[in-house]
Amino acid sequence: MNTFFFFLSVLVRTIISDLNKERTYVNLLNTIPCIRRFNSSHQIGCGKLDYSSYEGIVYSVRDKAEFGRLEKLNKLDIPDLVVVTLPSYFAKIVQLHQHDSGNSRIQGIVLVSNLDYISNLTESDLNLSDDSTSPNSKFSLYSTNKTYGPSEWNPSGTNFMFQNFNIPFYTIYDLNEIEKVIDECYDKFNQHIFDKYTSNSFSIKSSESLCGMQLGLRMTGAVSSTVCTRRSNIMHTLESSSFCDPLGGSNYFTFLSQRPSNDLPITILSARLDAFSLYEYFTPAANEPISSLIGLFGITELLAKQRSQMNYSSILVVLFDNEAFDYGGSSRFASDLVREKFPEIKLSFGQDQEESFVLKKNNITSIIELGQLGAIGFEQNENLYIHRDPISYAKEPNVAKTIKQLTDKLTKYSSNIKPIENINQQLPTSSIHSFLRNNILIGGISLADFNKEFNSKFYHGVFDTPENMNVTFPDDLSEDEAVNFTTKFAEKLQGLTTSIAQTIFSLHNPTQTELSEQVSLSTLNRLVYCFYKNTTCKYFQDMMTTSQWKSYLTLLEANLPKGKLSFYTGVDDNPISGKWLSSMLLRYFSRNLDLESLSEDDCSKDSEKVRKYERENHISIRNFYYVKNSTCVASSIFLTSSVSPAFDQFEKGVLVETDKFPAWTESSWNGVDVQMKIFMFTRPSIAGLTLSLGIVTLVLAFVLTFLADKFAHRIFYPKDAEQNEIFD
Amino acid sequence: MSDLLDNSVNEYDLLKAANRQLENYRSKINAENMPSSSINSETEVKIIEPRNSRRPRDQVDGQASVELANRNGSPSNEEENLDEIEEELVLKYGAQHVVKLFVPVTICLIFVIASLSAIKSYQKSNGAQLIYTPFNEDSQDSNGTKLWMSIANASIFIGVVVVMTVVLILLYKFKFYKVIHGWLAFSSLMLLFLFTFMFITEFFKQFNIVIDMITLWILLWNFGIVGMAAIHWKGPLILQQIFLIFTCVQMALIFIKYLPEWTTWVLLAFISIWDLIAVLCPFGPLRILVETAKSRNDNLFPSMVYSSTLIYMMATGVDNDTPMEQDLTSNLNQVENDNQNTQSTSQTQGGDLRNRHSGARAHHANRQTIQELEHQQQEEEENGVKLGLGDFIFYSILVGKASILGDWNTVIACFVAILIGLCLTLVLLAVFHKPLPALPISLFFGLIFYFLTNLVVRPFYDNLTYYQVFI
Amino acid sequence: MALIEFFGCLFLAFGPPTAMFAITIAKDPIRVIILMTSSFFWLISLLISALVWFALVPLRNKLLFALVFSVFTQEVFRYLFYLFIKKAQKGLEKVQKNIHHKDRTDFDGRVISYVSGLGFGIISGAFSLVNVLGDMTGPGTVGIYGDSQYFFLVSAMLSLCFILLHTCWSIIMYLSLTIYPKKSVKLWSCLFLVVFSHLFVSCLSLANDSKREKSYVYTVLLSYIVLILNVVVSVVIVRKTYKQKLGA
Repeated sequence: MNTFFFFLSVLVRTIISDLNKERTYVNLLNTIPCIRRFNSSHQIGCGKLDYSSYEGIVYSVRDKAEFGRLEKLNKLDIPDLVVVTLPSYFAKIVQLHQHDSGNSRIQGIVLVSNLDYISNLTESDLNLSDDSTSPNSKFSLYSTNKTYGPSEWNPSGTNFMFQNFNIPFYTIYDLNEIEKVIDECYDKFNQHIFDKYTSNSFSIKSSESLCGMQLGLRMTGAVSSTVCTRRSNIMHTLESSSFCDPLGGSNYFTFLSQRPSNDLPITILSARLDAFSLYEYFTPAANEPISSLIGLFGITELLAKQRSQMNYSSILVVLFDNEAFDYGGSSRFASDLVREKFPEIKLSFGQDQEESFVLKKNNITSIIELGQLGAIGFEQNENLYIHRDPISYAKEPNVAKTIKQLTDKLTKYSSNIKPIENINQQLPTSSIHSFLRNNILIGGISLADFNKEFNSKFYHGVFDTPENMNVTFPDDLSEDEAVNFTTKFAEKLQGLTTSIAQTIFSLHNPTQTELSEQVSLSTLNRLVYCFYKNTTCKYFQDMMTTSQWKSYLTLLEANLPKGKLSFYTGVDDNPISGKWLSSMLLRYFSRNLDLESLSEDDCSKDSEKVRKYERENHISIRNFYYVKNSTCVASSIFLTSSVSPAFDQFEKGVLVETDKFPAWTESSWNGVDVQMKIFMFTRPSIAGLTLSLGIVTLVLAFVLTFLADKFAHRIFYPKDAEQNEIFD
Repeated sequence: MSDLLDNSVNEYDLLKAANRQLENYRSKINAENMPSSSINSETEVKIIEPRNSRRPRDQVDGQASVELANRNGSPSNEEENLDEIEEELVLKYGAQHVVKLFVPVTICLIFVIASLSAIKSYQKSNGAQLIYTPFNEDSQDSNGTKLWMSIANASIFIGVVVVMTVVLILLYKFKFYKVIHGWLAFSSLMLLFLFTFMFITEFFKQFNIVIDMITLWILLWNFGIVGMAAIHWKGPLILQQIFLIFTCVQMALIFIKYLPEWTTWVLLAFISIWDLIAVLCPFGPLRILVETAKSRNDNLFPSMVYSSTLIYMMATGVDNDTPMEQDLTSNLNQVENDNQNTQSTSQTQGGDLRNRHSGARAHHANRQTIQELEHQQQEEEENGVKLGLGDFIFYSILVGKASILGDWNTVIACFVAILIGLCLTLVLLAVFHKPLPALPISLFFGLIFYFLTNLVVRPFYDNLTYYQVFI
Repeated sequence: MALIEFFGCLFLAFGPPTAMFAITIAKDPIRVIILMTSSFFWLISLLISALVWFALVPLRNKLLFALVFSVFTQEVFRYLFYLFIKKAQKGLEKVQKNIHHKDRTDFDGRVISYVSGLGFGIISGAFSLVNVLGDMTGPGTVGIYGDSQYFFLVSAMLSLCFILLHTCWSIIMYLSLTIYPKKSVKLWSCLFLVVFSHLFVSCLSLANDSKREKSYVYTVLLSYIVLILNVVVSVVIVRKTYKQKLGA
């Protein structure tokens, strides 16, 4: 009977919730906080560690006048404020707060980040990059180098990501909720009160009711990763719980040749997989890394078709994860190679026994990395630039030789790929730093759309959107038309990526044959459409099985903002939609075309046809899945951990080699207290009235009851009863 | 007679009454030889003892009234008055004991609710489960799966309880008192150190307070040692009560955290049924234990019982040879607020029984019976009622679960239901004069009120308070 | 800021009952038990009326029906508790005549009716107000959708009114059943007063509209007027009753 009631209770609970709370608070659900992270010596992020909620009166900054007023109000002794601001004033408000953060009245900053809302306003500047002006400079090749020193790759960087704020930052991006906060809360209740502000004084009458906001933010953790790891290691309950989790996920790689081998010269074609912004998971990431991923997939598809011909070299396509935070993923990859701890890969060439393969660094000859490619979407940008590290170029002859060879080939195949002008220029943010720092001295080039500094103003920010890359689609296109719509970006990308593919094809090629095909424009168009416009497009769906598609949709809805791809680095066992999708795309584009037309039954590792094929060609294929348009996707993708090597002994509570490797962790917060609500503050007059009434009633009650008790026999006894009493 | 009534009835103070009686009789005890003095002492104590007045008059009672009559020199027709006075005293003292039990139960419940509200990590388990509940109820399982899993879990749990009870009975039957004593000591050791450590660390984690290990260990060591001393040895009664309540709260918090949702409810239901069977059925282990204890004039076990009053050690001429008995005689003349419960550790007399395991499983096998201490010839007696610590734990689990819901109406309803159940059980105790289980009625009421209030009353009252309609 | 309101409402609504409990009831354990038992009876009546409300799905929005049914159920259970206590008293009848001069306040029908009324009142007030009090501990108060900010204060005042009213109603009902002969006009008029005033005050609270503050003024004023009336009647009836058992 109990269980029956339990059934019903669950049902009822979903119907009727706490009605009073709904009357009091408006919960804003589509809001994203800025969370706390730690590196080996510091902590960065927003909010104090031992506080969990911040309340204040809502104040909006939408124009210069309101900002000026805020500046003045901040110096007065007024109740706490929560500032809701447009992007154009965000940096100024942060600086206003930081200027005197002890006495600042600002208890939280909320950024409005809905592009439609902003573009309709006069103040429509967007806020800029959240990263520092020299991203990842501490773990670059030049951090201790006196000659070169850090370089300002990202002039529009505000460095907000790496500062420590004592108030929470949030962002709201949903139009309805923005209107609730600004129209129904500030405009309705607070605006007229703030408008009465004069230049010398400001006071709120006790009969005025103000609309306020509560930002909840509860972060665990300690002073730095080192301390936090040590503390997490103390076991105090039946379950282990940690205060901070190492950032990282998985690097994905695949061999485009027929089989993984250490004997042939290995060329690495790589791109980054992750990005960050000030607000957790909110990474439109259009320029970095999506543009490079699109290019990478185009090249991969083309080279995979030439697989059978390319038996003179091994192309290793790698997607490096955890690069945004000081190259954690590539340092892991490189240090594993150097220390010969690279994970073993089991291969079975159609036989029952398995061989194992371990990638070794000896035969890796060159690295070609695709960096930001987005700026070519603009008319005036046509070129890609070849960046390389000047130190190793000058010192190591084989490095110089490789780089020269690559540069020559690239410039040969494309007139729009140019080497950088200043030969002493540093290598910008690139995974190659990790290889060179770990003594894997090979020639590596990074192809990017900028020469001296980033073209994109929104690197690692919430406004790194396709619109800011000039990738737009006309409004009146249907899905089928849009999928085939050729943007400027895709058009130019085709030529550039074809040249790159030709370069790779010709590396180590004993014959003189050139690659005649081009990177497929329709593939690039589809990728552009699906990544930038419609993340649930049919093209993606056709690449996955139904259960994979369901997982993808779940991942899209798992993190805010819902429905948008996220490329955030994340912590270890947390799949992120953008990165997971990229691994699926890598699988698809690097599939073995000979097995593409197998039937569904044959599309598996155990099928006789497959085993025969593997035996005959001495190759090994790991993953099989069958997709709707009768394609068998047979590919071999491998993954290795991309958690920084500093966490090798995380379970023991120590970090290793933190001077050599980054040690970024994220606070292991849970979502319970992280929320945003708006409500009315109690009018002081009513509060005072209630309290005084209450105290008066309490005191009066005690006095009266005491007296009544004492004189009970006089009050409650009938007159004649007293006489009876005496006689009894 | 009148001075007896005047002194003791109006002041409702057992201690003073007892003291007065004892002072009156101490001279007699010292003057006369042992056997008769013990009869006197038992007599005088018996008068204050509420239950005895309801028993059919056997020789002992007859002696009592006679003695009393003799002492005061009143004619025997005052026996009638004596009965009435005794009945009146029964009511007064019975009611007082009931209220005296209300207070610790309320304190325990408040403590549990406060801990659950303040320390959010006790509200649910992060995946870990106790080994006695191996089936993991996943929220995605169908209701049928959850049902059989919870029944299986609860059955395993009850099975463990049964096994432990039987083991305890066997140990008791074969007089392995030292083993039992050690077992109980070990279990309170674990509770006072291990679970308190967990509680403290969860508390500090919640409020982000940083403390170094040395300070923590010093605090914990002191706390634990004081607790062990208070529970098992000598110490003020109030301190013992506080520590016992604290250990109950710890146990309840652990259960609330680690038992899966459905398993908790099924477990509460099963344990009240087990309680009923174990205490009332002729083959029930606890009944066997009670009878064995009765035949041996044994006492209840320490650290498993919350006593509402003092226990007097009037023991003289003790039969048992257990070495721990020696302590008893030394305490003979201490009649004040010595925590008599601690004396009972050193003896194994009395009829009450609470089983408690020691070792890792100790806490799970609490037996809860409210018992009357069988009046024995020579040994000490206990006044007032006792409530097993397991009762506290299961009440706290119920109310704690109710408070997690977030609806205070459910909490109040469960609270009232439990107290009324307790009241009813004590009334039945006074009527039937034999050991009764404390859990079934309270938990029955509590569970009914929990589910009905949560399901039906909660939406009703939400609507009423929303529209400010008062009924 | 909202905590100030929390304490204000807490003291306002539960101050008098706490005072009454601490000063008059806590000293005698039997009174505590009677209080608990009467709370239990009220709980059962609430359960029944909630079940009926729950079962009649289409009428869920119309609180009037549930309200009337609940009022009648509560009054029935008040009467049932009266019968229960009457029976319990028989058990104590014997003892009274010997020692009644020592304890004037025990087994006194007037005291019992007062205690049971307070029991009804406390549990009813607790149920009405605790969840609202819980909501008051957050930083905000009602108002963002246009409700009046006096919401909490009015809820607390009405809760207090009901707690005291329940006390009076029990006194009036039990004592009138004790001293007035059956089927006399006085008895029926007292019972009618109890039921009618309960119905009246409950239906009055239906008029509470959080969006119109004026409704609060009328509701609170009228409720307190009814309270004063009931207090007067109960004092009168207490003075008419001798110290005696219930239901003579």
